[in-house]
Amino acid sequence: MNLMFWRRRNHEAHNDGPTSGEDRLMEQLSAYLDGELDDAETAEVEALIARDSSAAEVLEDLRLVRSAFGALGEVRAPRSFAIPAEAVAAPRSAGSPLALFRRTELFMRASAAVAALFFVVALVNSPNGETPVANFASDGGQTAMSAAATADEAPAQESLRATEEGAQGAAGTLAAPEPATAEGGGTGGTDGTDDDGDAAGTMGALTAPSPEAANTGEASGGAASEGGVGGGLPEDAPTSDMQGDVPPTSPGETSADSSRSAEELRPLPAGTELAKDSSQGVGGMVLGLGVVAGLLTALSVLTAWNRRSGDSTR
Amino acid sequence: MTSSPTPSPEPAPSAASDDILDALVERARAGELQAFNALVARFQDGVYSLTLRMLGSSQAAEDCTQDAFIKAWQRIDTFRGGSFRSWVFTIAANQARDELRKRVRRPTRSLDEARDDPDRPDLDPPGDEPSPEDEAERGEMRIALEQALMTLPDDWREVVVMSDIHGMDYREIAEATGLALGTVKSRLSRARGRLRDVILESRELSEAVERLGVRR
Repeated sequence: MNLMFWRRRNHEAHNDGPTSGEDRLMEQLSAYLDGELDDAETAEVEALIARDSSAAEVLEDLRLVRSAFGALGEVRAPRSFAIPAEAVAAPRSAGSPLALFRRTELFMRASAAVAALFFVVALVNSPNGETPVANFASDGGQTAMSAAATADEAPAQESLRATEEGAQGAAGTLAAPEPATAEGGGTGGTDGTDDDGDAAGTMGALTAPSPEAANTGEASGGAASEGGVGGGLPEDAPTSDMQGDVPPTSPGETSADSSRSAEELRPLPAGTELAKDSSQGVGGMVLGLGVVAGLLTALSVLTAWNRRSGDSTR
Repeated sequence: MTSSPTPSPEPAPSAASDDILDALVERARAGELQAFNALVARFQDGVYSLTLRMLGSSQAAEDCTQDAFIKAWQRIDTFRGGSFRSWVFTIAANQARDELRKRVRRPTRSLDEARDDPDRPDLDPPGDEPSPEDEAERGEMRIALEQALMTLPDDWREVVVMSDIHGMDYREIAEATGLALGTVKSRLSRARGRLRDVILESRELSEAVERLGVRR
């Protein structure tokens, strides 16, 4: 056996770092012994050992080493490692509902992320480039405050009735997005009338069960409706342009001039509720996306928790 | 070092035995513990051998082997076909690696200590009827080789045990260890080089290996 060139440095080395030419030769010879080379590499090694006797000796040594350790064979187990039935729980069979549930974990996580993304986009991306938060900040919260103050003046029954009417018009929720204006949000309940209070009232009712809370919710509901998904026209779009499909009157429009009294507002055409319902539809969509995101996240967390608790028992 | 060599390599799987194995795996996947325990009986020597050589202690190897089979049973639903043996070996190797990480320092023992180890299992190869002289010589050589294995770094030893003792190919080793094929190739080459050095440093062992080579 003659492996002196190999022994010079292999005795000290223990790393997986860059290999020298000798290391590479050793690797090739070792892999050749194991039949792990492709045809070209095999031909290369065979040509090498044909012309280089030291390489042939190295190969023979490797063969001996492998044979010697291969002869060690398997060790007879000192005892049986069979698992007693009472020792462990049954495995999660591949077809069990729990296993299927685990497989859906990734899907749920992805779905939750997508729903959350849409939720954020819907909440933030106002059609005119403004956000409810920005609106609140730009007007110092006056809009919301005035909405709350106005709503305080309005009888609680009005808000509740507006909510009921909003619910009746829910069929048209997604039919047409509500036009939004810069000041439009958050004042749905400005004059306390049914006409303007219904959409915001619906949102308020969704977020607050009590009339007092609903009053506060009117302001926030109006703000949310402004930032609905795909909702609204450009700020300067004439409302008359909308009449073909959507009645012009909207909480946003009426709130643009909060000094107008309820009497000044012309009666709403028959399709008005459809337009106003669209605001609550957009807001409802936002809320729905939020709920979906929350549910999916909760399911994902539940699944992960279940998996971890299962792992900890092993 | 503790070992009990079984010179006969794992028999080549036939189509019939593959069918039986597949049926056992399917029944185990369906939750039948009896079928899984049949798989345990089939692979426990290999798993115990692997963990024993990775850990160098029979008690630790027993614990590791048991844990590996329990984990395999609990995770049988994650087996997606292929070689069940490789899958179980992967779990066992991971268990052994975790155990090695827990150790503050790796025990190193001399050959004499290994010989005197009361924990050392039976070293006699089953199914072989060598002469008393041959038996003694082989026993000594096996102990020396097992000791040589224990001189390797853990990550090198793992690879050479899987390859040269358990006959796993590079792809199987890569799957079981999570290493790249090139790393498997490199570590195996260097591990063999180190083992070769150890053998050369012992004249008796070197001669014994030479004779083994001649006999083979």
